[in-house]
Amino acid sequence: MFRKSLLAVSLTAVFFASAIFPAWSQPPIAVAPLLAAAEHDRQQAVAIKIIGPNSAPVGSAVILKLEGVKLGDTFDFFIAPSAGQCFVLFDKDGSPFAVITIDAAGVYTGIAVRYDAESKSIVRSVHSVTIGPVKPPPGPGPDPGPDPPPPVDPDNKALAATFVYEKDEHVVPAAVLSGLNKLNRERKIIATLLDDDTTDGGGNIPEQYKLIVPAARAAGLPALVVTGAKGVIRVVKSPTTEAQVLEAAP
Amino acid sequence: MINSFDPVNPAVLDVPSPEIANSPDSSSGYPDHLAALDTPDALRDCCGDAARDFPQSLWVEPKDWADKARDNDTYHTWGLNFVDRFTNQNPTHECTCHGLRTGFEAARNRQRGIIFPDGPKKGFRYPESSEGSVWVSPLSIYAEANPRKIGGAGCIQVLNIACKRGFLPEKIQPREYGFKHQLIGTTGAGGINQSRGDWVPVSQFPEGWTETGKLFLPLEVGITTDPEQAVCVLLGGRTGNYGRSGHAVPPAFFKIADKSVGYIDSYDVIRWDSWRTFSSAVRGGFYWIESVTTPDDWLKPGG
Repeated sequence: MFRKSLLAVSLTAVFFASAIFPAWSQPPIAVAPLLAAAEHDRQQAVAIKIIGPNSAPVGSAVILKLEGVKLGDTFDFFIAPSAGQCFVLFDKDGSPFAVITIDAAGVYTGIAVRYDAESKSIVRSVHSVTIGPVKPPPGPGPDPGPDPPPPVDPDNKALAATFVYEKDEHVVPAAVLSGLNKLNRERKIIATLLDDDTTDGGGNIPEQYKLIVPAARAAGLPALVVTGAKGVIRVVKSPTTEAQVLEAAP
Repeated sequence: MINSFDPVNPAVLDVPSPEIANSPDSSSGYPDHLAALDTPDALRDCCGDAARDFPQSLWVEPKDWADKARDNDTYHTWGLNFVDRFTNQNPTHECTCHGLRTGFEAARNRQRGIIFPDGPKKGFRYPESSEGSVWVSPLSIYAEANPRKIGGAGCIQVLNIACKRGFLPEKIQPREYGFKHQLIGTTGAGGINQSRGDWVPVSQFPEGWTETGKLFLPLEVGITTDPEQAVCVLLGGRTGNYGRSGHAVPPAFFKIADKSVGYIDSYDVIRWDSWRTFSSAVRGGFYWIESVTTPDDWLKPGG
């Protein structure tokens, strides 16, 4: 009795479904695009709208409104590639907006992400901003640039690079750690990190750092000290980028 | 690769390590009566001169956590990225010592400056480990913390031992370093990067072992009970340690998406604590090893 009723209900459902959705007489795969489109529309409704200029001069404050965010929403905003400063602030009425200032010309993408609890996924929206070319400052002439690095002594090639710092005062930038890693892996230079107070098992400055620590302290911490067989090659004060670390070791 | 902006599947948050069921008393080695002794003050005292409060230089405002996490994702500078191997304690009670060794090796590898982009991988050895990574023996600490083998140890017990006389290196190393004294890593399962064997009491450690032990000492140990400070420690690329629910674990990265915390479980696997579990555990005492003794030559760490 139950089985006959179930069969009757099933057949009835299919009959009405076929009437309403003739496509169901087709293979069920025809329904998938409709469902995908509906999900896409729902996610678009959830996505944050970024509204603001598409171009701006270098160094100016670019304001981007973030529409569609309600109090209590979980969201984030950042720019890629990472550069300059980026803050998310709130109006008196609680509406968020992003303020970005970038000091280098280029095309940057503002990315707003919201966590969609229903689909358990991240919904992203983007907005590109072209930061305009740097205008040369008025003055006597173009900047001659930094002094060229001293010529490389072929008998004193870089064997080690040590970033010396005081952990209570300095943060080691992630980019510097990445630079040290590249020196280790790609150039086979012993590139390491050294907190100013670090000792060996006997409580002394480790032998490999006896020349390096005084050189770093003389320059002022934090400092990257590059050494070769003949001693210190170069000391770079407060490097913050991967490129600075890689360029320091010839 | 880590993406701290992807949330963790809620089904795997706060899941107890199933391997613990294999061990005596179904314990991984952090019983309640020992956990009760691990107060923040006791944690600070046990480190002696090595104890450090949270340094202001590590603080990151919560509104900037996402930026810092993004940097760590981009440059692979989470604490996890300085750990090149798993260990496996199954079915022993050595958890506090495995967590301790993870924090020690992470701090040492961070000083060494080599990044392991995918963190530890089961059954895999990074070629770069042979450039100076040293694998220390959890058993070299546990044998003193609990000579009875069964029953586990407290976090302050094992940290105190490590700060006093250091670890011994394991018998399996990524390179032949010529150590004068070595010990098996565990009486548990071990693996391709961890030696295992029968119990060794301290009285049977290799003669003169303390000379090698002092080459592998924590020099500075940070302590906090503030969950936001603990997040800053993880954002700063350090690997922490805490005990909760009968198991001691080393958290090594932070998910911005849902504030969950990934830890390197001593069963060859990464597992996850929710923000609630993490915060509660931190309030009971969280430590991280900030710096360790450094050799005169990274390729001759035994002297």
